[in-house]
Amino acid sequence: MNELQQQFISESKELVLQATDDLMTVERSGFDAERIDRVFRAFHTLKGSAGVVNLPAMGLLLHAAEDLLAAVNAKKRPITTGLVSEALECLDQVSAWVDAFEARGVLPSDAGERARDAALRLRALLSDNTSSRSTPNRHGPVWAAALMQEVAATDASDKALLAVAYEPLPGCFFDGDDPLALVASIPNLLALSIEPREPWPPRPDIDPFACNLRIHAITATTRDELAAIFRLVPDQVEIFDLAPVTTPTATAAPDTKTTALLDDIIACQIDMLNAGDAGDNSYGRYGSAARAAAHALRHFERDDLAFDVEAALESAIAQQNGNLVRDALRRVTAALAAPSEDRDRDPDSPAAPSRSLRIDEAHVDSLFNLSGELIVAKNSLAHLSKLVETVVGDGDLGRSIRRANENLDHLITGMHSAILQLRMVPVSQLFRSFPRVARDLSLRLDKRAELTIQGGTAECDKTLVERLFEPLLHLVRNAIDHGIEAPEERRAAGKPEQAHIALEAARTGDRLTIEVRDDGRGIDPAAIRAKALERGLMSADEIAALSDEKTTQLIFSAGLSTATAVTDISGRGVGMDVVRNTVEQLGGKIAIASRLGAGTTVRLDLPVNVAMSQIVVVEASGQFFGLPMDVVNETLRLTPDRVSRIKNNRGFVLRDRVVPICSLAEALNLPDKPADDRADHLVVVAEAAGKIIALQVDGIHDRLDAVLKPMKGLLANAPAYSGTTMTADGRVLLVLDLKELFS
Amino acid sequence: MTVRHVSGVIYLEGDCGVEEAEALLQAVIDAPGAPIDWSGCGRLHTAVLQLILATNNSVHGPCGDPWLERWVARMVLPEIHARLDVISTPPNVK
Repeated sequence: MNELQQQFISESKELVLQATDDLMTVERSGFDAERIDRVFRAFHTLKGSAGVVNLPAMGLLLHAAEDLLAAVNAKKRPITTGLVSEALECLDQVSAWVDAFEARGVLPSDAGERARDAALRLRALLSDNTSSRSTPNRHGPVWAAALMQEVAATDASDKALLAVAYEPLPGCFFDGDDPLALVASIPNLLALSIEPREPWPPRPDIDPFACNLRIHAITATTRDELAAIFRLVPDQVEIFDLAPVTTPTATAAPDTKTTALLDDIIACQIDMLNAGDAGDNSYGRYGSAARAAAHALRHFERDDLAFDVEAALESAIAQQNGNLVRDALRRVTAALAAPSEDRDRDPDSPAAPSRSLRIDEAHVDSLFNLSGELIVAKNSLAHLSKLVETVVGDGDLGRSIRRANENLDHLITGMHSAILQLRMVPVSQLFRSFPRVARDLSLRLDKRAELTIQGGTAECDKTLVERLFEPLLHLVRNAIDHGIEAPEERRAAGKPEQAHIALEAARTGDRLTIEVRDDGRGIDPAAIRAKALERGLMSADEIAALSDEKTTQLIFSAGLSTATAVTDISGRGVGMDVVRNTVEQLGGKIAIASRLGAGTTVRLDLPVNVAMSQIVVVEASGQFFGLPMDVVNETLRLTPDRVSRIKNNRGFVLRDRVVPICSLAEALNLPDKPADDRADHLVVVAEAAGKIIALQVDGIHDRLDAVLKPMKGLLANAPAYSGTTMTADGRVLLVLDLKELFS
Repeated sequence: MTVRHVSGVIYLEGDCGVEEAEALLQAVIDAPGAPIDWSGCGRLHTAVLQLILATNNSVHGPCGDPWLERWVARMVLPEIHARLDVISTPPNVK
């Protein structure tokens, strides 16, 4: 794969993500020219780069999507859920193809066929008549709402109206078309606007024979009549139904046209003041100019500016200086001309892009592995200094080595944490696909749910981001599928129809908490109890003894799904225990809290860095093993009298609790020493698979900071081990997975 | 001749077809700030109107074509018309 192709892959992935985000935002918060334009450009760039790396199928699909988006961009087509779905599907396809291209260097063999099908679908969406599917927006497209303000002033506003968007092709003049003549023949015209499709070029560059106009009209005529007028240019015209105006469309935002009117009014006042410098009847003129401007400003809800003008008039009268009014009006003009950036600024966009370097993940990983090895190698120096001191008996040399080691230790720890920092990525990378998941899923299930994200800037190790996706996906799916009620059910319960799912991350010190919160129906403990009993997870007595809170946690047990209907989305009963396992493998904990009728919160508590783990070295039957510190509660030396035998099993009482004792050697099928009941027992009390167990060992040795390497090759399937590391003296240490061992 | 450039004013007269667009463009390039007088024009082709919009030269009216006067003049050249109106109307004397 050459550099160009690699760049294509990484760029495409980013573009797909960004376009997905933007599309979802547009769908949620309505037409936003800037975002639409960005989506359009993303598709455009994708199409272009697909051509560069010679993927014609992808180009074909993207071309069709681009055309559709161009229509949206040109406001010829309203943003609908269906349209966004199509565009998202297209991005999904592109994403899948990019993955395939990355893996094999070619697109799948069916790519051409798929591209043709999808392109046809997109083109169908583009060519068919939207109005037959009745536009969901009562006011039709956005521009129609603006034009309707004009219509509202006329008496024709109580009729059923049609909005016409006519965008003549650039080359239409050569076809003998005169768009204006067509528009002029529309009967019962009520409002008209003509604007350039693209900004006008400087005069010498204007092509007088390329049509660059977009014409919008509102008329009280019939669809058939319009069809007859535009029969030769049906591809350039779109017709929308508009509901009759019963109330003035006060909701329509004051658009550029109305502010232009306001600008004009103010400009006229200034002109008027400039016109009469003679100064004779100046007070009357200044008074009326200021009042006219103030009224106009009030009308357009700029009370702040109106107040300024009136204040200027008062001081003008007081100081007998009419210029104050003119100055105030000029300030108003400037204020109106200033783009209202603060109001429009996109809250998501970062203030300033942070400088970043694009590095292949593999390089970071190999650096990270090397630094892990370095830590292990450094550990051996401590061992060496001990050897020199004890075996060789040279205290000075031993101390020197130890000092050198401490120095090295300091540096290596610093380097390691710097490298860990390289691997830190914002949680938003993990979260960003979930709004999309929530959208698609709630659409499929006829529910209404919005997913919001908080704390996306919190950072964590990329391993977390990679491995938490599946669990979070499951939690979000669960929330929508099982947690959120159908809209009518929510209405009946007095909740808003639109359910809310919050995905929230927060970092405190070296822990990251992630919460998935929904405001759905909550989990019914009774249902869990019944299911647990039915599945034989526990006896009836045990279940009855559980508090509601504890019962809810049972949802993480293997083989418990409370959904009555198994859907293809969730509910196979394999989910929640897998979620818990993954979180625990990452060294985290998971908890669930739920209130019936009010919602459910699942909380994951995870270490920010998963790469480094603390290990305690234990000895059994002459061999050394590592135990992860996070499962070890304490280590104890038990005198023989504390150990009691119950049949073949041994146990002891620890804080009013009987803890079974299990020999590690026995558990690993190693030759065990004959049990000596008179000797002290050395045990490690550990928590595994929800149980407390005392592991009897022959010795407890050093603690290490270690980077675990996963089991590979022949050992990959050895279930009792979670990985390997190296001890200070260079031996390979197998690290035990207690959960596997005792499950 | 339907596009005439006479002493600083560009006159549109009679029916202005699509071919007049080029003449008008040349006229506004030759005299960038010249006002356009469309009071004598009849039918105006879209290409010609497009040029008036694109070059943003001031326009003297009223337009010879009532439909354009009713729908287009008011809408696309509000500033010039409004100012002309104000200037031509004597200010209110107290």
